[in-house]
Amino acid sequence: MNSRILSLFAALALLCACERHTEVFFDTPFVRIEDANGMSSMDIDRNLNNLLTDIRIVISASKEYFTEPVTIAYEIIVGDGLQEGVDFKIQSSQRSPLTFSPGTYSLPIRVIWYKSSSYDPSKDHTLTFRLTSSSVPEMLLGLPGPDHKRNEFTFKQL
Amino acid sequence: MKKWISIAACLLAAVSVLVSCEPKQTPDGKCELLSFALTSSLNSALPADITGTIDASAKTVTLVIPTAVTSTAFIPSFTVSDYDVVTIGGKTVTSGETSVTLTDGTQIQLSDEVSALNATYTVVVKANDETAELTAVSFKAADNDLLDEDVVPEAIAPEMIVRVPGTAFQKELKITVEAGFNDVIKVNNTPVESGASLNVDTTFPIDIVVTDEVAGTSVTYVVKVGKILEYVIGKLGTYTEGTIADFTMTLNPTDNLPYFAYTRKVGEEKNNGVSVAKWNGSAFARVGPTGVADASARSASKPQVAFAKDGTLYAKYLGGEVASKPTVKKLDSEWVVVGTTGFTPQNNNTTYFYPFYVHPANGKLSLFWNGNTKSTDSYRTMNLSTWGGETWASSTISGVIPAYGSGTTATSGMYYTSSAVVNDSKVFIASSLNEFGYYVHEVNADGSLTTIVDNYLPDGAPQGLPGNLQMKQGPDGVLYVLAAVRAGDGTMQIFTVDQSNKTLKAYGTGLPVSISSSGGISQDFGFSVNPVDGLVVAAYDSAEGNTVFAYLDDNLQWSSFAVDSLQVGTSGFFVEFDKDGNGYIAYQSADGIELYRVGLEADVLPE
Repeated sequence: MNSRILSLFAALALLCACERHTEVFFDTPFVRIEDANGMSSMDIDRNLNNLLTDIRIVISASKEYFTEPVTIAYEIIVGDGLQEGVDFKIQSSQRSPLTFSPGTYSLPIRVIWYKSSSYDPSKDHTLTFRLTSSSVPEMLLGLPGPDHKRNEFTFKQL
Repeated sequence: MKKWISIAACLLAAVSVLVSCEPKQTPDGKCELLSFALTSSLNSALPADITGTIDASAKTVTLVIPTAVTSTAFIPSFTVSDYDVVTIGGKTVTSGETSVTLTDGTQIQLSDEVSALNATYTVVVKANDETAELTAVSFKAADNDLLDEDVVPEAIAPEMIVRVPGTAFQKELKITVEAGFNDVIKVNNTPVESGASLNVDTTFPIDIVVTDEVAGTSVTYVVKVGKILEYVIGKLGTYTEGTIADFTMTLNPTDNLPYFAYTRKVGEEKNNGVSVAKWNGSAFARVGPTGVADASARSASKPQVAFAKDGTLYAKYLGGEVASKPTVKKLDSEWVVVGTTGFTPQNNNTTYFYPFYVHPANGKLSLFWNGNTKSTDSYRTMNLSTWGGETWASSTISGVIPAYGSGTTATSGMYYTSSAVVNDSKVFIASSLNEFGYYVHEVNADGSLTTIVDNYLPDGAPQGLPGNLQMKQGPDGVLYVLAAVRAGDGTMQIFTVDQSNKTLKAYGTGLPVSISSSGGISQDFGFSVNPVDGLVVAAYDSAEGNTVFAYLDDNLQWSSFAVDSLQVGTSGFFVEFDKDGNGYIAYQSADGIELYRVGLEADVLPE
């Protein structure tokens, strides 16, 4: 009798195990900033002149969130060892904010680096691009997760 | 009862008075459809709003509907002029509320409630092309002072490169863009109407995003603006071993590097020996042991090298071991005599260089020569010697060139010299014979000659001349010949070989040259053709005694390269291009062999 009860429970357990799970899709929109290799930083040789560097702001959003243009704003933080127009030049047309038309998921930010004639190692030679806002309120700045990785990109002139 | 009737009558009268006092509606004199749209919020089948285009005169409303939308039932949103009522399919329609069937040809009827005016509009449904595409991009000269002509990419592609003159390079330019049906264009994230233009900083790549708003798709393009690259000359170095007497430059087809065979006298040596060196890409380097020839008894002259397809190197010279006869040596670890020294049956004319090559069709080592031993069949005519693996076989060429003395004088038909082109499978020679014109032959693998050009005489020239006669191969296998034109003041002229019509055709203007009454040319010329882009380059010593590097420009006029402080050339100008278009110019100066590189300047693209 006990074995029959056990068999019945086992069969029920198997049937339960075969029940279809409800699929849950991850649909949180987010935006990140990175280079072509998915990195968050890049070293710049101060002896190179006219070096063109290219990073990208990439948005990940389902069609539900992307029926209207999405605007992403970022800030530029220039270290005290760098001077715009002297040490680098940012493509003016790609300055914040950037507007993504539906169907466009990636836009570049380009920086040309000039040979540094006066390099003071005691100063901050970093140039940081940090995401600050999105026109989609639900959109996360950086990768989903507690650390918000790739919410900023830093160049460092060495 | 009467009382109630009286009250009702009073009320009726009052109402009548009130109604008669209501302001009368004034017709606006219009019956027009002012706007017509299908919004996605009211029409779930639509991925985006569709705004109808109204043609008031044609009385049409054009709706561009994505091909993916199969529904024909829509709730339109529209505006009309005052007091107009809209009817579609017999149904009175309220904007934003009434669902109607809209297909191509559906009629929208308007009637003015306060006048007799009415109008009928016809719906025109167009399918969207569903494609976001850039159709044209250009930098127009009319918009850009820095450009002399419009600049466009070769084709519309995800990444496009356009080239502008140096004056416009890395400058701000105005770009014009055009896109397809229903497409919206953004250049560097700025909206631009199709056909309109926008200033762009060409220091950076130019991003173009085209969006088909109806289909909701986008395509991205990048335009990079580079400079129209110009040829530049750079000195590689000067080479000598003792004192160099003469030399030739030949490209090794296996390593694409220039090799130099030269006669030289080192230290206390009495006679000129022979050595071979090469440019190894960064410096000159001796190839094989010095002293190819045994010059202990007499000097060697007319040094040349030839390469087999596998890169095996052969050197040839006149004199040395045997006076006035050729010797060929192969480079193993040492220079090894091929067959015997001085192998031709008669002495050679030592005035000119003659073709020395490995025939690509059968790998046989061969050389042309002009016999200089009187009373022999080979005397002053064209001879060919071929290495058969065991012995050298020599024969006199006849039938395809004039026989010696066959012209108006006893020395007519004397074989002057030839210049050879050796490509992957064939050998061609261009030749000059006394009192006759220029000849071009294909040298078959069996040593026979097939005539391509027979006795070509340039206009006004009494005969061809041997001085500086050279033949090279350009793009698409076209043969080019540099030959003297003894007419008027005298020129060195580039010709192309028209193999179909078996003639030479002048190519570009001639270079001035001094030709003496006897036909002698005191200046030395070298030339070649870039096999990649067809650029013709010449190096020569001018009548004024200057060394000149020049090229035929787009108008086929000679232009000089700007080169600083060229050593004065004394003789032997050679120009060669490898298969990739890298060129070398070599000539002899008082210091030795001067070597220059000819190539396009470094490309700088915004990338």
